[in-house]
Amino acid sequence: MTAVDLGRSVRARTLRARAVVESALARIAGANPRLAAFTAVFPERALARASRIDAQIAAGGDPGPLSGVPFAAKNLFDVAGIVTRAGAKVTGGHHPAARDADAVAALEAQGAVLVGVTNMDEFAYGFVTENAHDGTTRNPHDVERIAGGSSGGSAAAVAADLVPLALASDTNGSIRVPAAFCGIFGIRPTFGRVSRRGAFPFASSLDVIGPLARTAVDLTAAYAALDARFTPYTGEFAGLRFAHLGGYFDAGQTPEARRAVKHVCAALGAIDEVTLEEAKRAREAAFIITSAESGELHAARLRANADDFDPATRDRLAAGALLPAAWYIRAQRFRSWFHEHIEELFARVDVLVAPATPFPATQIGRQTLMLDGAEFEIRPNLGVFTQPLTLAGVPVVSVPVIAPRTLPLGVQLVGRAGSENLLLALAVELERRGVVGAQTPPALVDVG
Amino acid sequence: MRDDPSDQLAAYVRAASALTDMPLDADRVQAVATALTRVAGFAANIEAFALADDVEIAGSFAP
Repeated sequence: MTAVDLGRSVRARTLRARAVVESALARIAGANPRLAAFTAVFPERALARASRIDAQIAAGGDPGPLSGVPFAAKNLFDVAGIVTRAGAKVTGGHHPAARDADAVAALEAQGAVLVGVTNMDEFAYGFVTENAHDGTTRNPHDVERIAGGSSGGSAAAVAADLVPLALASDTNGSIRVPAAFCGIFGIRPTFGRVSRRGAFPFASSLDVIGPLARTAVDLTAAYAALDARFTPYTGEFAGLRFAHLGGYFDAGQTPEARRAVKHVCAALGAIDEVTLEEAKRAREAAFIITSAESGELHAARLRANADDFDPATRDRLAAGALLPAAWYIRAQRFRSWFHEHIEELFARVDVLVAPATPFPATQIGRQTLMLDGAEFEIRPNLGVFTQPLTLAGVPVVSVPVIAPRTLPLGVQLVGRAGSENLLLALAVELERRGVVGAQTPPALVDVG
Repeated sequence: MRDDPSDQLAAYVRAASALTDMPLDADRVQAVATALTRVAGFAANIEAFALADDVEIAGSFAP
């Protein structure tokens, strides 16, 4: 059942919030040992809140459209009374959070129920969710493959139907990459659009937070709860100018990834192809900014507790802490130029279509693959199509493409700043027409 | 030896880590230098892109 349907049923008292939450907790208990999607589950908090929702409805109140809907949050979001780990061991000695993160509170203000927090790359620095402290999150569509990252736990939890919604963060693609690999919907909002208060930062001039969902309708409902300025799109789709992002975004990918983009372009009537100039440099600038900001953020911890870091993270952060300021400033100045450049492009086009990843989820631990006849490093390149758009700060919805007997792939719908409502409405329309949609993964729990 | 870019980066890492009080053993100096090599390549590409002086980080005030 979708989040919206669950909320409707709980409000109509055909389902009890407590039963919905109990069912989610049972699914998590059954599947999590295999998936490693959750790092902590809060049954006491969740059941108490569900009971309060049931009581409020019984008394004639309305807790909101997401009444009783269980959700998860990446473990970089503050949860009152819990230490916010952000996928790290070195944060274990921090004080418990005094209050919930704004995003958690916003979903709960609409009736949703937080059931637990999810696995991630340490400090969100990665695209694989192979975490030295908390284990590797497995892809529900093939448990020998990665779920993507850094919000891999949230994406796997949603894809496996443990919860219908999850909160995640995206600096360079950490919502869009795992959404693509796990075959679900995700949105990276316009930079600055959704409150990050109570979310542990990674590279704060690029960080945004957003939801993941199995349906576009659910994604819209969750996003509406997070963005106080959100109003549904009421315009027509006819007359919108769609374009396929060519050039940089049409190279270095498998035929399946290219077919997925063409499939969505055909459905939208995106006949024109446009080029986003300097996309490669935009990705490089995002890389430098990420390196510098995250390195500085963790410099004191690296001095004091270097051995407690994930080896996959530690030396990249140290490099960032030591890089020359001129590199960072130059990258930020390039960002200013690139921001104006993409605004000029959006004067001619309303929505751009691009691949989310160059290929589907790879095997856990795999380092390279062959692409266009050359050996290709996997880890540093999973964000090759998401990072340039990060630098522009524009909103992106990642939609899962339906293709039988293949691993999931995602396609990015990219709009001008503040166009989340249009992108979400397009995702809903594409889902309604059967062009995109989440597929049910194989059963993860033996129920016989 | 100092002409080799990787040696230059390793020397930079040793100097910068000493200056910023971030102790690194020899293995970590090499690992950090390797990580910095990728960033250095990207930085060179950004440096090669011509930017006008009025392209600012913060933006300018326009009444």
